[in-house]
This record gives sequence, C-alpha cells and structure tokens, in this order.
Amino acid sequence: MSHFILIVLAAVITFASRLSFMLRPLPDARVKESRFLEVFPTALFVALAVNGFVAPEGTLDFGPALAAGFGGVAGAFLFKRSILGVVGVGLVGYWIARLIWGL
Amino acid sequence: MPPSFRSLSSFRRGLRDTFPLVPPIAVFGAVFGALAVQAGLSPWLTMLSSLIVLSGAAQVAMAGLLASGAAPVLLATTGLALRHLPMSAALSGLIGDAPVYRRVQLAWVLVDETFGLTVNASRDPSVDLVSFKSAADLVLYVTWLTSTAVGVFLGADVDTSRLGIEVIFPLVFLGLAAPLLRNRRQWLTAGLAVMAAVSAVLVLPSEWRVTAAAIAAAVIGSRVK
Repeated sequence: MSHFILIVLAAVITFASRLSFMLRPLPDARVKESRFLEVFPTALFVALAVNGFVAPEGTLDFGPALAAGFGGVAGAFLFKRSILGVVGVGLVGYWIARLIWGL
Repeated sequence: MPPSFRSLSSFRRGLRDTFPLVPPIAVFGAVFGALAVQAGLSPWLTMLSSLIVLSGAAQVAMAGLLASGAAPVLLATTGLALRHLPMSAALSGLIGDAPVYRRVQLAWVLVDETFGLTVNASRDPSVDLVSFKSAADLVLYVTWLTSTAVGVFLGADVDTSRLGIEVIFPLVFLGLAAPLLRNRRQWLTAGLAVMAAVSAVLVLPSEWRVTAAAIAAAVIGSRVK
C-alpha cells in the first residue's frame, strides 16, 4: 500500500472517530452516561500524562520522566493549576533528574 | 451581553488561553516533521499527514511503524482514535444546538489539547464555546502545520533525543487535568487513571494503553457513589 493511501486511510479513521457523536449527539444522556462524560476528560488527561511519565520509551522506566511528573504535580500546587506552572516546574524536575542520573 | 460581542470576546479568550500551548506544540510538530523525513516519508506526504490526520500521537506512531507495513499503522491509528468517541460525545453536549457545519468544523480539530481547554472554559457560563474552540483550533492548526514544515526543512539536523520532548506533552496533559480536579469524584477518577495507566503499560500494546486506561478509569469513577 502506498504511503499516500495509508495517510488518507489514517485521516478517514481519525476524522470519523472525531465526527461520530458530533453529528449524532447522545439523546438525553442518562445519569450514568452523564457521569461518564463528566469524568472522562480527567481520566483521559491523567492516563496520557502517566503513560508518558512511566513509559517514555514504551516500557516501564522510573527515570527522569517520572521526576518531571512529580515536578508537574508540585507546579500545579505552587502555581494554582496553571499549565505554564505545571510545564515549567516539571521541566525543571526533569533536567535536575537528568543531572543526578548523569544523562 | 449581545451575542456578537460574546462570540468575539470568547474567540479572543480562546486565542489567549491557547497561547501557552504554542511552544510545546511547535516543538512536537518540528520533531514529528524531522522524524517522518528521517523515517523515509517524503516532505509533501509529511505535510499532508499534518494537514489531514492532525493527530500528533497517530502521526508519530505512523512514522515509527512505516517500515512494518500498513496493518500495524492502521491498527495503531484505530487504537488511538477510539478516545475521540467519548470526547466527541462530551463536546457535542457542551456546544448545544450548533449547526451541522460548525459541528463538522469543530470535529476536524478535535484534539486532546483544545478539547481540554474547551472543557475547562465550559465552567464559565459567559463563554461561547463554539467561538472559543474555533480560536483554539485555529492556533493549534496553524502552529502544527508551521512547525511540521520547520521540522521537514531541518530534517536530519534535528537530534530529537536532546530536547526532552518525551516529557513536554505529558506535562501539558497534566496541566489540562489539574483544573478539572474540583470534587471527590474527579480526584477518585484521577487516582484510578494513574493505576490503570501503570497497569496498562505492563499488559497492553502501546497503542491501546491510553484509551483502555482512560475508559476503565472513567467507567469505574462514574459508577462510584
């Protein structure tokens, strides 16, 4: 399969998943569904973050990336949950850990 | 507040709120552009993927799996795309009765970052979420395309291992999650997501981990009283 067709297929799969419920909204979501949709963003972002912190190369690795995670949590508390605070303190934690690890 | 003024003010707020995400997105876009060219994708196909796929995770996975053939690429894309289903359901509920062309437009750039910003903005009832997300999408799309082009241009000169790129996006996602933790259910769901994500690393292939962990944590978190 050519790279061009592969990219078009990947685009179709991705856009179809994005468009799914945008065109057909859930009719009067029940309590359970509402609660699920309320907590899903939190679950998604925490899962994305933790996956990057504990397995930056794909396998479990408690290294500088995990230190960035702890730095990010500290940044959230120190800077009232600002994204820049989380990223800034997290990166500081990451680079300090790299120095300590000798990387 | 008149509707047009509310839309304009929400659009401006969308631009302002998305600004802090520009540097990490630009770095990631440049790294993707360089990686794709180094993996053997031609410059114009690399740009095409940023133009029509517009999914950092799927595009990086694609670049990494090109040599393995079509099936692994499409499987990885499907696994990563599944998380858009609950995202689109949640966003659809937030934007109310927006017309179809607006829904299609908002779905085109339904990515983790602008979705998170929109969910956070939805806590303020004065914000017109369609205008807000349109602005956020515009900033993200332009940044992503421009930075991909820079990465393609630099190609082999970019040493991705030195940038610390692997932690920038996890930190952005942590920053998007932090404002959502406002009650016990959200905290509980976050705790479950931590456990599920670590467990998923141990038992699942990489393309399914985030989707499976997020759905499992949200299902359990939403059922606990």
